Amino acid sequence: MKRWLTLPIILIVLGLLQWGCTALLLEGPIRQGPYYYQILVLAGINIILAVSLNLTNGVAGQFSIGHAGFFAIGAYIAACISVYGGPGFHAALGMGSAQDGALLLIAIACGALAAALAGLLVGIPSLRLRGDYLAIVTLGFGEIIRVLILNIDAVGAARGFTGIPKLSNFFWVFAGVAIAILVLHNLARSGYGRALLSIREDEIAAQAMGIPITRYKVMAFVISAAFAGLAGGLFGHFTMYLHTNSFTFVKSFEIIIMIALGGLGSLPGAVLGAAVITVLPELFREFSEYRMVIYSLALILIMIFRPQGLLGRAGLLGRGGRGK
Amino acid sequence: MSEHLLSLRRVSCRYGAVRALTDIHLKVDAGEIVTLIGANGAGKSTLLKAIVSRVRPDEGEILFEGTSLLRKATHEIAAMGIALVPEGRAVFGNLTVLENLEMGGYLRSKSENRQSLEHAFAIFPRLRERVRQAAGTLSGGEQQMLAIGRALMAKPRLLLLDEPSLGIAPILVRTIYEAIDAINREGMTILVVEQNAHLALKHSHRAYVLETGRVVMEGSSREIANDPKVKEAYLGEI
Repeated sequence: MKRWLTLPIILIVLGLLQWGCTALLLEGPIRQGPYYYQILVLAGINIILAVSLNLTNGVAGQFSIGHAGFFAIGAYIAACISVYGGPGFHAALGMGSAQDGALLLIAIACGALAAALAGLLVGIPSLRLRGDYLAIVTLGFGEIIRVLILNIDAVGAARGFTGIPKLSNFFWVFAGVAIAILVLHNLARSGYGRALLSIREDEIAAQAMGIPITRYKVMAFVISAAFAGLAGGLFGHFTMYLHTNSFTFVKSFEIIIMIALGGLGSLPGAVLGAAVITVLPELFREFSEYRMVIYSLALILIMIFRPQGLLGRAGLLGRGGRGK
Repeated sequence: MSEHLLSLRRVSCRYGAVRALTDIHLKVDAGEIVTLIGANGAGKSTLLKAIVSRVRPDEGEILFEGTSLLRKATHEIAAMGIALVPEGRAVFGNLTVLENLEMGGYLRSKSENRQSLEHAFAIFPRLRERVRQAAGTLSGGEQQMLAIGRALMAKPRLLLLDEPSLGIAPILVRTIYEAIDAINREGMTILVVEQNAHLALKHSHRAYVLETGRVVMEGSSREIANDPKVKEAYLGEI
């Protein structure tokens, strides 16, 4: 009875949000300067990263700490498409905002696809591992990607990748957030999501029930990587410049902190966590040297006082019948 | 081809250098309750793990309805019709009772699951009362009921129970064994591993006694319960 209401409610809420934000944007941040506008967009990108990592780390319970690697792949591949393919694309189809949008979509799709492929390659061998081992493999993967990019001259190597057209804006990021939330929410509610939850709870029992656990874990990993890639594409085309410093393991940990802060496994929690972690350092600009100290402190305090995270395991519409 | 539902021939297992099972012969026919008794470390749980491919035997053959289980993955064995209730119950603690049961019917259609659900509630009425409760908040006995009910949701042809009496209040142990009998009367074949030999022999047709990885005795449960050596070693009578 309640379940069929979910989708329309989300759509209405998202619609209102966009309307509100657009109004706010036209009146507020844009007039107040690009600083606030940028924070809003970065918050959106972080939300996509957090809700996607939530699928593997929260729902399926597989502790991956290499999300920045997929984010980087998406960003660089998408940027390559628009930088190297953009001129030809515009020569063939002409200039204009419609063409820009199409180019962005193609670039992002390629970035997401590449990230998904990387997720598949890393996931198949490593998801047979458990706990610490998976964490180590994913951490290593993230660093390998970063070092690899650092040595590819075509994408700027250590200089950074410049000249990326500004195709992304608040509208596109917002659409990305909406799609990510819709897809991941419905996935978590489906039979597939339920199977992932049971893998998190007890792998042996899940297997004994006929769930092919490795295949399911790999699928979750691939979907999660694809959305990280999508976030990367949006990011590169917004900042117009990419540098590997944005994709260190610190970024991976930042995303983990977002979902731990909000509540592992909770979609609204991931959204809230991402928003808080984006905005907090901005509030503490003058102490930015101490950001890592604040992060660690925040994590420790949450683990002590609210181990289930700010929103616990709450789903989009309350607790969704899941106790504790 | 084997006419038995499940048969193990010359099965040996080892963990590294340690032999857990040696030269095991065991058969289960359709409609039986067969029990496997023995002390801690006799290899009872290893035997169940070998059947569902969580441990790979290094010798021997395991056949279910004439098909070898040796090269199959655990989830494939589940799909063939063997349901395992793991030791320590292994319910999905953060999911509700209903969600746990629904996961048990993962391989079945929705309409089948609706029927199986009623069936599970008929066997364990307590589960119906707790249907929206998180499984982790149930008592040990209720969790065992849930674990068995969840296994039944898969409509298996063979039910494997690993120590169903472990860590459960005595009064609920009786309820659970009565339920096991009731499930068997409906035609379910059951292989149960149990430390509580007295209980297991009372609620089974045939029994195997395992000692340090070998079958040292087999026969009808009544015979075994009356055997002086078993009485002394497992039933605490002289």
